[in-house]
Amino acid sequence: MIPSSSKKKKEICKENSIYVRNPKIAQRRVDDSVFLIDPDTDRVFYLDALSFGIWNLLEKPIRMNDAVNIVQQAFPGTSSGKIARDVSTLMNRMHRRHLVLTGA
Amino acid sequence: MLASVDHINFAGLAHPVAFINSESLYPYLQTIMRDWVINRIEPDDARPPVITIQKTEAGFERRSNWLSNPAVFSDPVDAACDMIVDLIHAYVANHKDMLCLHCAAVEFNQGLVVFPNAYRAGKSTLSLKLVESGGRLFTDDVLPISNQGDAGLALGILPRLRLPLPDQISSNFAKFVENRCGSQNDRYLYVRLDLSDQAALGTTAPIRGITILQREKNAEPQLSEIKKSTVVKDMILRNFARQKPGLEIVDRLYSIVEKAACYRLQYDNLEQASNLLKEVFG
Repeated sequence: MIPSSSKKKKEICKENSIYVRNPKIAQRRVDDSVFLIDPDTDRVFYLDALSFGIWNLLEKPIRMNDAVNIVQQAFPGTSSGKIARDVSTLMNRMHRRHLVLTGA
Repeated sequence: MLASVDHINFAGLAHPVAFINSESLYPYLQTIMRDWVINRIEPDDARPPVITIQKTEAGFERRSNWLSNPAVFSDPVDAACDMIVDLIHAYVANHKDMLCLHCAAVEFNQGLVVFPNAYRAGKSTLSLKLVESGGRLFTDDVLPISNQGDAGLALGILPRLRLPLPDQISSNFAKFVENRCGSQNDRYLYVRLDLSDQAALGTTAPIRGITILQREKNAEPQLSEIKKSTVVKDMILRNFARQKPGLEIVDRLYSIVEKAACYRLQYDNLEQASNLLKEVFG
């Protein structure tokens, strides 16, 4: 299914949902940091290291649980529960800000 | 009693300011906005006032497009000082191609160095200390960025110090300030700089350095290079001219940061800070 944006503020990302970058969002890389710019609102978002990692994963459509698994491999010493929570929080936040789109 | 209503034009702004029984503010504004041509004009329906200030029992009450509620100040220095914030908003609104940074900026031998605003970092006091040491002030608070070459532009508005002055300032610096006392009240003091110490309205200079201030008690004085991304992030927060698309703003700020030497200055007192900055920027 083609991903679509949602305006529901508190929608919880589901692990089987597919996520992908909103193609409207522009990005600028400076050093090892990334700034995202939403042309509709002119808001600018700064990505820290973990957010940038997730943003990279979202270049192609990806399921939440696949993203969690990839991050888990990068941080084997961190509990899977914490990684799932952190990734979910980030994806939700990006989704609420229309940086990513989601589809079932 | 008949209200006295004046429409006052600030050269460079598209719309005048209406002063209602508030002519006692004129001397303050004329002094603080050192280089601005300010004159009374006939009311013109095509140019309605963009700011209105009225003397009421509570004080000087100001309304403007940039205030959600009227601002009221009983002290004329506070009223003039706060009104300048609106005048700068009006200036930015009339110059849609400009960015406008909340920062101080001082010209050294090597060029203009910007000090982005940080809470109580002492940018005004440090700026004046740098002027006392031979620098030329562009601003202690707001720096428009011209769309031509992204140069910093001086606004010709006098710097303002918070009172009381820090205890540890040198006697020379204290004298420097004392000899230039302008409008003041119990909280603020405007410092009357002349054209050799403060660039005239409209003067431009390319930005050669950006220094983020970090004042800490007993800190070892240190000027260290920092990542451009940290500075871009900070500059995005300091820019309050948002009439251009977000992407263009980020690109312009990045272009400025890319060409500038970027530092973090950790310091405890003005002498340390001034010496370190002079070593690097001349």
